[in-house]
Amino acid sequence: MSPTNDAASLDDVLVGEAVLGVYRQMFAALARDSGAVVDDPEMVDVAETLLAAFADAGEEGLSREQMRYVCRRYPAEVFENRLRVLKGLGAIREVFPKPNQLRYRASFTSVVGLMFIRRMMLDGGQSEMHRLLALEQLNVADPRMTVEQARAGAEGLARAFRLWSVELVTLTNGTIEELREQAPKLWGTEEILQRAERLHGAILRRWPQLDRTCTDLRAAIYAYGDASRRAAARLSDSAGTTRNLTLLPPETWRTFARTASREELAAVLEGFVFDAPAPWHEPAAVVTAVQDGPRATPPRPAPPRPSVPDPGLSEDASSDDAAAERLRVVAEQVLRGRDRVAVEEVLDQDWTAARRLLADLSSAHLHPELPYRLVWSDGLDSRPDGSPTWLSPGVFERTGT
Amino acid sequence: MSAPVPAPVPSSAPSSVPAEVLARARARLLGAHSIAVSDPAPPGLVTASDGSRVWLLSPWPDGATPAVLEEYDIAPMPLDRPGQARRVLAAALRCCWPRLDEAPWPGERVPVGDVLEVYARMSRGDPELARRWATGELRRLHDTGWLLLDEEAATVRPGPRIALWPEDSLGSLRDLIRRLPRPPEPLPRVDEQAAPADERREPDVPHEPQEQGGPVEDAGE
Amino acid sequence: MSELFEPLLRSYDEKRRAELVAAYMAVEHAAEPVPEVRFPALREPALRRTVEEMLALSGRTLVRTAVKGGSPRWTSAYRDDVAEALAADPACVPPPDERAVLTLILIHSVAIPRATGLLPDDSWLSPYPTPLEELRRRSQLPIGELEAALRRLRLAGLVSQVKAGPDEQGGFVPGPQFHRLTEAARRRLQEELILAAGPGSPLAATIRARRHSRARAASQQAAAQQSGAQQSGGAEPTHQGENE
Repeated sequence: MSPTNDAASLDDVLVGEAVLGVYRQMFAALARDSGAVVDDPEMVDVAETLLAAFADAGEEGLSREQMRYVCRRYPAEVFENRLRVLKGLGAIREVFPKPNQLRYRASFTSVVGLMFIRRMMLDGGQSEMHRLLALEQLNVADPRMTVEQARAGAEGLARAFRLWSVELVTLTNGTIEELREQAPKLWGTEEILQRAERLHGAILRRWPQLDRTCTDLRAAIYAYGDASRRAAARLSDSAGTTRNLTLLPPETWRTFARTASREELAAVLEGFVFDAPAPWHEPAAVVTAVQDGPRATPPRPAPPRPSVPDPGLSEDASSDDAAAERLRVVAEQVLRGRDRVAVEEVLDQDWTAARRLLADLSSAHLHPELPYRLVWSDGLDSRPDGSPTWLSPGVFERTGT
Repeated sequence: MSAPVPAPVPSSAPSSVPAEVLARARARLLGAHSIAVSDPAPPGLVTASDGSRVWLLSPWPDGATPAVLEEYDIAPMPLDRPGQARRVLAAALRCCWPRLDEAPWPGERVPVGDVLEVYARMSRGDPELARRWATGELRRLHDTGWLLLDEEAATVRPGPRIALWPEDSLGSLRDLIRRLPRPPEPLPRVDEQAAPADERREPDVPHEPQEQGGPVEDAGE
Repeated sequence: MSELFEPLLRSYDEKRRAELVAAYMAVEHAAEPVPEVRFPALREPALRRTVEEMLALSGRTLVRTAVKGGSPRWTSAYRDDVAEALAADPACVPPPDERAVLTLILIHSVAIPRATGLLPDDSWLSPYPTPLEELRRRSQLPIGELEAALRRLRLAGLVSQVKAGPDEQGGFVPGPQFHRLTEAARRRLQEELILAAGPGSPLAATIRARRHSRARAASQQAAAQQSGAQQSGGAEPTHQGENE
């Protein structure tokens, strides 16, 4: 790749150098030193941290001290090594806005390269393939596209599909664990296959003379589809009743959960039946519950019925909800938009009111459906002039997100 | 894309399960559902009738109940606040099971207010809050077949699952119910209704007063 | 009320009989699968068979859950053919709002932790709670409906609530009823989730293809049986996989 060919014209050399330059910049983030690719992912993180800082810094760029500062959680020698390599490959350039002032700027290409690399790591190139196919489809419709470009594009795709298939077939014949881990990055969704076939059709319509190339491409697409199906069949035969859930990426699950309608979600459990709740209350357990329960002190003359007319059931219809709602209101009043509040702060009132409030906060804490928590730390604080006069430090806080 | 997959053999699947097996499976799945007295009950189920409807319950061998689990120290299906649920059930029985020498099922229909009142008197703390918790509990006891709650009429009566209690397990429960605070007497419209010292209460006349001997308490009002 | 079981229990002595009854009640009512070492009637194959027969009277079957290294455990579930027949009865199927919430909890508590490698066990139970906020704010379900459904699901043991601890978030996880699924039902649940969330994935294509060919085979078999006009009685259980 290096311009060693004496016969090459100067132009060739310059073009070659330019291409190499792009390559170097793109993979600078992965380079361990100017000659090899990193062997520690942390080194990529340093590059990413730096590039992010450059993006924030704008045209000013960064000084060396500033770069060191944003990378302060990495050891000095790691930072120095990275900086040297990134500079060597042109991902970071020195500029001199003023005499005697050294600043640094980052290369756009390196950022793009890093984005590309991260995506490749995430899904093994699935999304790149989507992009590539979409792009090629646009190209095919572009009047400026030449037959040679079309041929090159089709051949490139055929090659990609073949390589994918080879990898999948190898995996399908290997261990099930490895297949399960790798397959989602390699196999083709229906969408990719359809796109590829559409593209194939479009090339063939516009350049019938490319039929040989297109036959190749079609064969590669079919082989890839076949390899995908075989991998899927092997996985769905494999033991386990939840293991294949790993075959859809977490994002796919999350997207479905967040966007699916009630009907779509409910359809998943169509055909499943579950028992109605049927807890058992043994007579002896009823006796124990009453005996152990918080009892009104020994059977006493019952208090008079409340003067308020009995609300009856209809009004109590949502009593659980009503109680919970009341506790929620109390809790929110106490929190006033904060996520936590010191108990002693809110109990700073007369003891009866404080006690009532404390009871409510404990109920909110105990209520299974309310997102609040009352946490006490050990020890007692005495507050000679407060009411109550002592208190163990505690916080009332919001749980949940 | 994801076209629904056609049912394999639409009609043959159900027919492969004997009808009485399916009926028993259905009874377990639905918990405690009822049919009209006039409908034939599938064989092999425990039935609890109140004269107009029949509840179908899963049968257990040799008089066993899920209490067997305790002997093996094995946890039953978890239940939120089981103590509270059982105390409310006791409060309900205090009202719905007036003749304690008889079986608790089918018992009697009583105003929900009475049960809430008994529960509030049994409990410590804010009686209003106690009533609210108890109302939620009544609803859950209804959903699980332990009580039959008529939300519109605001009445409650024992549920069919109570019919599953073996007679010989009821001794201590009877003692307990007897000691619980008594249900409130109805608002004294005609004041002197303490006359009939009999305990029979017609289900349709829920407001008939109840007098049970024993130490006379001020029942309020 | 044991006439139903009498034909099965009659031949056993008192001790055996009590062991059978205990095992039957345990698998039917325990929250978790019970260890077979504790129950002679589960340990001994012949007795276990009788337990299985007792369960079959109500359309149920034994489900074995093996824990790595531990002794086998047993619980009970509806037989697949019975579950299928019950599911055809609208009264026996949970309403859509409950099913929808349950699906969300299965995704957040099982599928996602599974997909991210957090959940090692092959089980539909999970220690990873689905936060209430996720259900409330980031799903398409109306809040009022959601909370009512959660309450009913909890009562039925279909979801369990996990209280927030000092470090972890609270929320909901699949409840103990998820032990009570046959192997075929658990597999089908996995398939249904994959079909719903990733209909374009190769795996979904495989699942659909399998179901089609199985359905075709089943209908051919049914046709053959009919034309053969041969009325052999006991269609035997535990075949499912296909569905609605």
